[in-house]
Amino acid sequence: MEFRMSFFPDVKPDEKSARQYFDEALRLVDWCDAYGYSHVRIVEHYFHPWGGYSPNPIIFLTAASQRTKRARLVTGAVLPAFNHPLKLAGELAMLDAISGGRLDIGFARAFLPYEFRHFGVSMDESVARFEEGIEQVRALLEGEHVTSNGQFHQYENVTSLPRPTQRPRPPFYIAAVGTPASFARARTTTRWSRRCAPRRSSRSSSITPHPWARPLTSSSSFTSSTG
Amino acid sequence: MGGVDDASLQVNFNDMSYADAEQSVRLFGEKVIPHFAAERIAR
Repeated sequence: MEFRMSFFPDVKPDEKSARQYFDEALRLVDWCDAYGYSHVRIVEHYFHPWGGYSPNPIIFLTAASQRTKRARLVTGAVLPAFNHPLKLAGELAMLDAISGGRLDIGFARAFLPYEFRHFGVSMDESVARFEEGIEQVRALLEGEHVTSNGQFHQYENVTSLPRPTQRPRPPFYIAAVGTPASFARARTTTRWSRRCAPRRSSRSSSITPHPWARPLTSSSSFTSSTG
Repeated sequence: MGGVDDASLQVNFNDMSYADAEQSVRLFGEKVIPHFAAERIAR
């Protein structure tokens, strides 16, 4: 059994400054390897004390990677709805490199109305953006000269840099919490890719392996060549 | 612990003091994690 160190900042500025919060959180990360905590994980949320201190998990995990040697770093999770896939793929691969190939990538749909409202994104598009974003990041990490004619993001003949340290890419996980539909979305697949369903994952976890083989949204299309 | 192979522990939440959070991390690391590590090796 593995024990993960998970960070979900839930503080107001008048309770604890960001500087103090992250100083303390990273001091706790210092204990990770010594005690055998297997992973460090942090969320992506915005605009509210509930998670809002961590709008970008990649930044915190990059710092954590410099204070650990063995623990894996888990985005718990990144939100494709609010991130351009070209930006996300490059930053994730950068963290994979800086951490020496210790990155696990968790994706989540996002569900907080005020986050969608402030970003000007319709919640009605949340599933489509989520699915398209994951597939675009997957294609950019696995392949070179990637072209996508997605519903939300389009690009042609893009090779994302840096290339991932883990090949063909870091493992993917899907957040499945709150609704039966979210579990169904993560589980409804006829087969799991061995490349993204490592044994350490658990179906009982709130993060489940990504069934990337499932059909894309009808409006999305991707082409790539493997790097 | 049938069916459970990962536990994700939120180690510092709300306005918990750093001292309390560190004590919790260390206590869990000293008393709980080694038990399961030994179990894993025994398998």
